Amino acid sequence: MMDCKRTLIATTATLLLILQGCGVETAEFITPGERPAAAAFSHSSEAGESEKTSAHKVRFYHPANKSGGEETRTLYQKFEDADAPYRGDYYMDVPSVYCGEGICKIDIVRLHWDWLGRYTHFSLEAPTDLEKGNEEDFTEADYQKLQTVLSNRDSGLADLTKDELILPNAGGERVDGLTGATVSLRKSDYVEGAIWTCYTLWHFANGELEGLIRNLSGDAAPAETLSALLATGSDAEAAFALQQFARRGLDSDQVTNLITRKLEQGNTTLYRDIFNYLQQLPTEKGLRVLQTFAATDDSHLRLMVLAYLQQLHELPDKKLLAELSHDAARWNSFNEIHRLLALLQSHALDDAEINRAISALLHHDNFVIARKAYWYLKEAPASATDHERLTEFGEKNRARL
Amino acid sequence: MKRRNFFKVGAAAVAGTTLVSQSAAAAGSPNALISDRKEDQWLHLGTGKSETPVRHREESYDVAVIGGGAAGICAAVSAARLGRKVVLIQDRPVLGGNASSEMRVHLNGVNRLKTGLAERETGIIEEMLLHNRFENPQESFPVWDHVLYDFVIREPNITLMLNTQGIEAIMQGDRIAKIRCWQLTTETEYLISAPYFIDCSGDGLIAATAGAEYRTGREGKKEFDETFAPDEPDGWQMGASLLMSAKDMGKPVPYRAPSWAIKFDAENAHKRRKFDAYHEGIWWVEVGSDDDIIADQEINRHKLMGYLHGVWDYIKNSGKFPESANLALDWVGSLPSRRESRRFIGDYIHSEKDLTENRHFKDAVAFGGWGIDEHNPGGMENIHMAPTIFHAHFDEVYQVPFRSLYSRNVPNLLFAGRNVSQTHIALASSRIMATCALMGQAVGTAAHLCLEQNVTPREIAHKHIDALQEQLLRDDVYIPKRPAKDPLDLAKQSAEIIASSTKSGKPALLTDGIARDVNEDIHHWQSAELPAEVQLEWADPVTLSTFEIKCDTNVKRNIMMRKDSLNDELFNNSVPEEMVKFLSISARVSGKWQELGTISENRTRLIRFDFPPVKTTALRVRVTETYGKPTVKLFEVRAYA
Repeated sequence: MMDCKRTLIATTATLLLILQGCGVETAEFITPGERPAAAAFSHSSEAGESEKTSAHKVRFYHPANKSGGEETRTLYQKFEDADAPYRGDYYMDVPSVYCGEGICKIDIVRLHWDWLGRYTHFSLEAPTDLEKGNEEDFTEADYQKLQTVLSNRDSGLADLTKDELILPNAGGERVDGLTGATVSLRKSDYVEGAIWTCYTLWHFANGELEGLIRNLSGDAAPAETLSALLATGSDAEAAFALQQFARRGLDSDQVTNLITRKLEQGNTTLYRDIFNYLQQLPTEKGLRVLQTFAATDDSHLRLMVLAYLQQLHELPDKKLLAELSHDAARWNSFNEIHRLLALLQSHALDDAEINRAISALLHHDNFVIARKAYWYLKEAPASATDHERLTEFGEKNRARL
Repeated sequence: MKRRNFFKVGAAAVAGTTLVSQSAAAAGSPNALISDRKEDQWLHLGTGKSETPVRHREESYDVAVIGGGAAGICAAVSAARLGRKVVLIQDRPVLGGNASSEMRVHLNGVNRLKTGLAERETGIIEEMLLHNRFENPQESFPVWDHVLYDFVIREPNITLMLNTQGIEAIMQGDRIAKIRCWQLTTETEYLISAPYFIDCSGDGLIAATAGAEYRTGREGKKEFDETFAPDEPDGWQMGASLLMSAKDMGKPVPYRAPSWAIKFDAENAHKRRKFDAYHEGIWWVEVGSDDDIIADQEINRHKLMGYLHGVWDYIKNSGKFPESANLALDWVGSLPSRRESRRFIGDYIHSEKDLTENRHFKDAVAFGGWGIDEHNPGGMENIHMAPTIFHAHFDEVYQVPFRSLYSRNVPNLLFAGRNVSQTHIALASSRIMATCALMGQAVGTAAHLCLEQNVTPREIAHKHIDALQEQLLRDDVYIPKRPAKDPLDLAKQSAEIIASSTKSGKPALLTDGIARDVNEDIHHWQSAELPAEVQLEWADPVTLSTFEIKCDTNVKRNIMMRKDSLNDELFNNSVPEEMVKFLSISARVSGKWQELGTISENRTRLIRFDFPPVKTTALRVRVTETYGKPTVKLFEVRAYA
């Protein structure tokens, strides 16, 4: 029999009491209000099957660390599925607080992440109770709030430096009676009385470690696995796969085919990662993927195609530009037309087919689009027919140009 | 706390006790002139002539503003910029009121709501504070005086009269016809006539001598259903403070208190009489009054000087502050900074529940949000009590109605600042200078509209309030829950607004009428990078001669000058890095882009381009540089013929 620990765990919904042996965890859910006193946590249970864990020494910055330099800590990866070693969850033991005011009690908190680097929960070893600045222990509500705070990736804690955290004389204390030290944060972003704990733990949970974990998982995942994740995984897994492809410079027809499929499915949440990946490919390959979508009905995708073309230094494939120009007649967005014409203008194209296609826009229902095409064509060399159309448009709309 | 003053005073009642009689003054008799110099025996050695000095002048203006603090400056500048000839009369040698180098109170505003963030005032007050960021990075109070001086005298329509006190209103019926002023430095009497008068002087002597109704003291709970008011009304008014500052001499410096020092009663002092950052002044060195606080001012000033030195003596010589050994007083105030005296009565009296229940007013023209910060009655003379009680803090800003900014019985009198129509408890929040400044801009703008429409302020409140609010919104005042809907704004008629790249918000939000993000609601467009462009397209040509932009200056972060020069998430001691620095605008004319204007060192949130009328179908803004941010955030664009 091995000694086992009882551990308090907070997830977003509940407090959990974890009976942690040397390998197996079993959970007893405790709803707020029923949490036993911390002193009652000491417990032991039968050890289960040994859990495979690997340790990684990782170096990263933490904004509350007074040294200002990188710190080195051990990140543990748990392997639960021998067939998918990249899928193990992670944990790290961290100090509860990098104290800003030199009066803090420091406990060890275990933070947990999934294999995609997403913070999941924290746990404490009994009989530890986190403490607030006024030397009071955290209440159940405080633990719940802490879990909410740490789970909020968009927290105001993200952008603050440690020096900005506390306002020692907020709002004019020295001249007109606004009382007390306070913090420059929304109240939803911290547990009252435990601002430094929240700041410290949030940056462990959501800071550089997230990227390090993703890369560790990515390194453990073979290319075929990443392809499979892109093909059939959730959005988060597909985004992870795309980022790892980009990071590792992986490029294959299989990947580009999968990306094409994703674009066909119109999954806009992946567009940013797809765009970033395509930007890293040789232009020829990137274009090959995107040209399929010159005539797409998806406005977001069209904007992505235009943005991709805009950032190229060399002249894009004229055929693709011609396709886009032909298709533009059915676009209803002035913004897209504006971008297309700006793209054509930036390359000073002299192409009769493209100009003919643009001249079709003179009949667009949206007059602002038609006028935009008019002024573009006025600058471009036009055929006799185009010239005739332009003249007709100009005369008909003389007062609106 | 024995009695309450509720004055309904005729002009003669006030003026008769101190100055010439109302009837004589009203008659304009030369005998009434203070500057009657007929008895002088002046031999002019330069010319050899014996003459009579003429030191009496009569002048006329469109608007007369009395008081050169934040409220008065904003009132004068707003009316002047709208084309009115304005005189700004200030009884001190410097502008700035409580924030001047004579008193050195921080120019606070909505510094911090319960959200933890500021909700900073924009409009003229912000422009003043930004001007200070450029001209006074050293954060010197005497230089700040000159920054304000520059801010005022650069307005061609303002005549500034310093060292000049408005001492008496001369009435014609129930209206103020003229005011009698005395300029101390030139021994000159001025009679200033104007159709509209704005009293921003704090104590409001002119308004009082005009017979404008006012009250002093604390209302009882019942009158306005105020939770924080005393059970029964009384005469207490919050006191004035006297500040000081000390510097480190690098070696121990002894201090001996002067003869008039009043020993600090540390034993009985309330524990909240804190000594944080005492080297920058202690705001609770304060004395109030439960009767005629104006009559008590010189007595209180003397007491305050005694208390100030008594507290400093305690710091230096009690042994409890060993770190003060090297400190020596560097500046001591002699002019107490006043919080409260007369409160003039308007068509509406703003009170506690208006603030705490966040009541909506159709005639809202300003906002506040400092906590209800009621200072201890008596100040240092109630040493055992906490120096202030913050009765409430706010989740969001509250509105100030225009009806509390003009007199209910003197039809051409407006006011702004701490002397407006409000209860003692409401004053405990709204007295903060940036809030007063917003009121100032509102009444200055209202005076312009009164002239334009030939109406009284009351008629503005009832018949032209939309026009007043629209002008204020255009001039970058934020009125909570009142989006702009100016029918003359041609940007709202544009068919398309597009932008080069977007990080957050949407280009279409630039014409939604709200020029700041409110709580979680976004009202901006932010570029992903710089340079960045925004383009407006109209379906039919429009003729434009003005284009206005409201850019980001981060209204969630304070920019007032502070003695401690704080620079953190909430207080900034430099030019906001978000603000646009370099931008240009172009119009498309006959298919060609034509540049209309470029600003290379923009200094304001409201950026205005005026240009010869141009007929166009598209206008483009190109922002090349901010004061530090790699992106640009805009809140509003407007276009006018």
